[in-house]
Amino acid sequence: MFSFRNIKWILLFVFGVLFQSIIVDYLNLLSIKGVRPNFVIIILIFFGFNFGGVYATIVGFSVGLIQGLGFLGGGFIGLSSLTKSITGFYFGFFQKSKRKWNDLFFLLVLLGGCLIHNFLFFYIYTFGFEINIFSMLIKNVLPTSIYTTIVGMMIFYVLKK
Amino acid sequence: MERIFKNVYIFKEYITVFLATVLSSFLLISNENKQIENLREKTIDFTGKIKQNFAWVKIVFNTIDENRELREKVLYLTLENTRIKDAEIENQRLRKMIGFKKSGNLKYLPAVVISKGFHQIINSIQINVGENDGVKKNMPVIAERGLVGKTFLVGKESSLVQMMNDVNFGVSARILRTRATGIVNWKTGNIFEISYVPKSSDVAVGDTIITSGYGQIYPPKIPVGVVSEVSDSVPGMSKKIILKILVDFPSVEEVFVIVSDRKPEFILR
Repeated sequence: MFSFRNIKWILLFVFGVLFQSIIVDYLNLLSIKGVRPNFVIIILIFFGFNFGGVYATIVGFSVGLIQGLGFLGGGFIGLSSLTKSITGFYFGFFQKSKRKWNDLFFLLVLLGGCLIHNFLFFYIYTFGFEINIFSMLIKNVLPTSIYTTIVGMMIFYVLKK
Repeated sequence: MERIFKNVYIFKEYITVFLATVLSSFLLISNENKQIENLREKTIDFTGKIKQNFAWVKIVFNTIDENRELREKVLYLTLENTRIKDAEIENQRLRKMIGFKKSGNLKYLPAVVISKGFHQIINSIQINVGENDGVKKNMPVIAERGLVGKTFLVGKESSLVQMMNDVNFGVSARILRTRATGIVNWKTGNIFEISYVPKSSDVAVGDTIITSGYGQIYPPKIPVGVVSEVSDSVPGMSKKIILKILVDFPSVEEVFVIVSDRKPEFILR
């Protein structure tokens, strides 16, 4: 159950949004050939596993809205809130299976969530333009998803200890 | 009513995501709404101020990358500049050669020096023309500034040229101003000497030495050198005359082989 005792999650998301916007997106410090990880998604998966679909959806929507308002540069307002609310719902769906967690389970769920988020984001963002979906998957969706999954797994292993 | 609440509770996740999706879609299609734009402007100002505080980090990293790129550019431009200067010098040299070639009516075959010091005994260079190009043994070889030597070994596609600074080299020469003749030989290093010029002949430092045309190999009036030292106080009947050769042998890269059999006059430049 979410309560104000878990203010650390609020701080974590604020930190995540600032870190993503400034360090990752603006300063480009963790970029590998233009591919950047998404720390907000990583925080969202841990939140979803702990608090379930309803809260993860609401938080995903809120964080996405904040990012869309000021931190995502020329992006549309509503796009990030849409993709993150769906991703939050997806992560929260697996809260019930929490006891069956193992490394592979976490990896597959995280990768799935990244793919859903990135595919929706790039597809809606480029909607109306003549974009090859397969090319978009290979060049944008897959690299970002894999990179985010790798970073997420590293954080998972650190927290597991 | 209770049933509705129960269903809402059971499907709360789906209802929540549905509402979030609807609201997000509404925001997406309202992006051009004036109020939304105003709100974006304010938040972008706010986030811009935050990012400005970290701009120095970006400048530092960009400076490192920019520095590396500029260094590479400087290196490329330096090499390009050297190449252009080299091409300019070569251009001037070739223009002189073309001018020199045009002034005479001998047949000149241009050639490039492909190696130096090839032969074990004879001080020589190798050029990239041979029998297939009409070259024969004992043909004179000149550069734009003057005499270089003569061919002594001719292959199908390349030839060896005995240089003037070879111990066995000799050419009949004339002092341009006074017409006195002698034989030019190499002594050592950059020192060449004209032998057999009588002490009674008028020779002065600065006099130009050219080929006399005597003998079967060298046409007349090919520049050879300039007198740098004259002395009468030597035993015998001949002056001691030291020459400074016009051609700088270490830097010779292009030459001409005189392939004509005739020995007409040509203009000294």
